[in-house]
Amino acid sequence: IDCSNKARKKQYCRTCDLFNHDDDNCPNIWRSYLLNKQPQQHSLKDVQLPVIYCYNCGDSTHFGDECKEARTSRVPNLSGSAFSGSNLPQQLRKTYFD
Amino acid sequence: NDEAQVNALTPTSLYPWIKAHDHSKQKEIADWLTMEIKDFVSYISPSKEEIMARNSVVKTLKQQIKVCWPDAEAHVFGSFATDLYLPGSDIDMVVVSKNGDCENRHKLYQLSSFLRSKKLAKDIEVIAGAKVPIIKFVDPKTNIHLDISFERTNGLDAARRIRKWLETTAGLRELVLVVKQFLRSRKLNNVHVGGLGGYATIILCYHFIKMHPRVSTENMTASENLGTLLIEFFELYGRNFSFDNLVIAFDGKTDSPKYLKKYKYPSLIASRNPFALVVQDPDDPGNNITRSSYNLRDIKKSFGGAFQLLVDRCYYLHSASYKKRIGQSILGDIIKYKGKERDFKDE
Ligand SMILES: [Zn+2]
Ligand SMILES: [Zn+2]
Repeated sequence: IDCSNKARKKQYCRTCDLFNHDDDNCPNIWRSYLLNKQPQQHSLKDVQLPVIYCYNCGDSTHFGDECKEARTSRVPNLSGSAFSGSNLPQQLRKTYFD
Repeated sequence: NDEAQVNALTPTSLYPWIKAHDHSKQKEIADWLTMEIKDFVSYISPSKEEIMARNSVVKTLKQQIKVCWPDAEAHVFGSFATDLYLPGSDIDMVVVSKNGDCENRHKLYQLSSFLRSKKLAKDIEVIAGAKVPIIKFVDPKTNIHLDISFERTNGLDAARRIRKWLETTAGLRELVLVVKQFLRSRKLNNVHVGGLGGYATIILCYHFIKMHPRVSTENMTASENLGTLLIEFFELYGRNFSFDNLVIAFDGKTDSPKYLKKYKYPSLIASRNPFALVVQDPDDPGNNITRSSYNLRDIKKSFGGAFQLLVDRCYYLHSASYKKRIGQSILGDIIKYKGKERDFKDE
């Protein structure tokens, strides 16, 4: 028990609060975007969800990372991908997840 | 001095684009990779002399084909027409005539002996019996390889569409050229042995960029985020995308990217194996552009492998000391450039 606990600790990432990688192997190291400056006045893009498709089941109601269908790719998705509601701009995340 | 150190430490013969372009001081690894991608693209982009040589080959052939067949017109398509060619790429041409009869065996041999007699072609091969009859040859002056096909305008439609996408999508050209060179160095770019062709590669890149949650919301600009986008391209097609369930497609009216469910489009599915890449032809909804790309297993594996190599490299360089980072390449783990050293063009 001690041994597996140690391994678990070693695999913890403080940025993601996940147990499948450590701080030095965190996707945030490379998944870091240079964002556009926020437009002064609000445009439709700030409040409206873009066209969304699921890479797993093809539905246009969610991204692949939030798919509830069985995953068909045999490669596991442990730490999330680009195609997730959490990768939308901040102001759209609430609309998406509600 | 840094530059001397760079040249002393690295095997620049394998990734020559990093020579005198060191980005190891970048705080963000993603920015380093973005810059390296831009360096790679400028390294493999043709020089003015190469462009002029290619243009003159095409111009002469167009004129001379007109001499041989006055009622026919020769056009370029493929990577030459879209400016997405790598050093040493073939030039694709198509001859379209008023009568539409240039594809017959007799005419093919007529043109090939005309080109030979005018000393416009060497190593000529007439492939008359194939589904798409072509003449293959080499330009005697430049040694550029050429393919001439006949009476098929679908390549011209595709080139027009690609040029439109390139105009409206910053970053698309860079992503395509890197993925093309990646596939080429793994020998997975040849459709005759199940690889991924140029048009399919472009569609995969464009479709991915347009669907990206940060791009579709105009939250970021693709050309400023090429590093992360390259890794995420490999993440999507090498790890997550359901090749079993989905068709890559575009809306016929709006041209916006979408996925179709395979079971609803049985006519597009030729293969009995569900694990097959299906890309609907934007100009012909009943046609699957990738029906020859039967080696999806290796294509997906190579994309997944590229994802792993790139992220491992990012993690390593992220925690490496400044000294260890100098002169290193990120892209070099997935792309090697072999062949004649090229002049750097920083134009
Ligand atoms: Zn993390
Ligand atoms: Zn789904």
